[in-house]
Amino acid sequence: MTTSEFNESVKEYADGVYRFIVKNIGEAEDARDIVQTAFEKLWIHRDTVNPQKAKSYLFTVAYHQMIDHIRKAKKTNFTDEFNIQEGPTTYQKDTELKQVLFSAINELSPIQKSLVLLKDYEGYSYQEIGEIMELSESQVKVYLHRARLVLKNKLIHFQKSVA
Amino acid sequence: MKVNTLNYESYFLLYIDNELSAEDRASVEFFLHENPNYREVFENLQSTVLPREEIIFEHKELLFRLEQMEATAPLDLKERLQRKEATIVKRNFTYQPWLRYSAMAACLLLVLGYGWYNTNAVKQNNLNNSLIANKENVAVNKNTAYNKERIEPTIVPSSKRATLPVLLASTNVPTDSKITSLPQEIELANKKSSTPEIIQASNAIELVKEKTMAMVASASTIMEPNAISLPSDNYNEVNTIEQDRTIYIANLEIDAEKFRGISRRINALLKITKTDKEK
Repeated sequence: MTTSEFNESVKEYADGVYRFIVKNIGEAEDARDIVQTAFEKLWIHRDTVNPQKAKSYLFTVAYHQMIDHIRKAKKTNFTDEFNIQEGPTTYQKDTELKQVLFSAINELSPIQKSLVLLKDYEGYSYQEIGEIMELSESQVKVYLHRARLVLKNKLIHFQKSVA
Repeated sequence: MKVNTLNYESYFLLYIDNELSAEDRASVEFFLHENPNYREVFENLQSTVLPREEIIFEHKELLFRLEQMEATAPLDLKERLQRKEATIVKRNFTYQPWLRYSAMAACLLLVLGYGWYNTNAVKQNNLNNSLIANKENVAVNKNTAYNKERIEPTIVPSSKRATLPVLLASTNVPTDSKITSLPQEIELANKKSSTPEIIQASNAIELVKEKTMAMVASASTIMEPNAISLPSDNYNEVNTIEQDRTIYIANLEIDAEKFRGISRRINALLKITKTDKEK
């Protein structure tokens, strides 16, 4: 991987990796640190990393950094912080249903949340998600389907309560 | 028909996650078309998909890396530079034993040659010394003769004679060309003091001294360059002995001091080689 290829990957993937992390942990500064660390590692290992695999490499590193961060922080209520930080800027114009969805996602486990984010935002396949999160393809499938069913039930519950 | 009322949920989720082949997708769409009451379930599951959202990592230019020389420099240039370095290193470390032996042989030859020359030089020196002695005698005779020509009119005791010629020489020789009247005056002075008495002679010398000093002073005031060149002319007579510091080896004339310098250097080299051998 050349320097220009590295800079290209910064342009293409920095936003995606940051979105994946900030949606997971809800803290913008910590998310920035994790993204920076991921790109730092990519730079260090640029000779061994295939440019075509740079995106999944970045997501893998960022994901593991994030898991470490969550373990260290041991935060039980970061879901509330997430809403406080991201709410005003991004969700004011969104519909109520979307707000419910995002709040429901924050109630998922970090693994389930990551699965949904990687699938919906980045469009990764089960196999690719499995490589990033060190899970088997069938595990990804089962965990993700469970997460979707949880989200679906929450949305139905909200719709019923509104009605 | 793969999709049925038992497995529809799994197929719906796989459809939403875009994990189905084109054929399976078509089967799911066909199932929904055939069973419209399942459409609500399908839509509820599809609503769990997160809507596209743009979140930007600001100041991503901070993550950029600068293009380095390593990346831009052509490879052949680097190789050429490395090759040059390599050759230089090789030349530094090539050791040839025959060089050492040839150097030792050359040193030996020099030593033997020096010894042989030395013995010859001693013989030649003995001969030359006699020649030099003769030359010096001739020179002295010439000097005395020259002095006598000047001093002869003055009858001065032998004890005073030694100082007088020097004075005359120092004054007359440089001023001869420029101040022509000086010798005449001296001669006049000398003629005046031609009495055999010592006191008169000494007075004459003093007169000469005074006159010559006055003349020299006047000359120096009139023509300063001559006054400056006075002492250098005096050295010519003294240097006649130093010019004979030559060693005659066969027909070669070698300056003794230079030869000594060379011999010292050779000795120093021999000492170095000896110490090297001891080591």
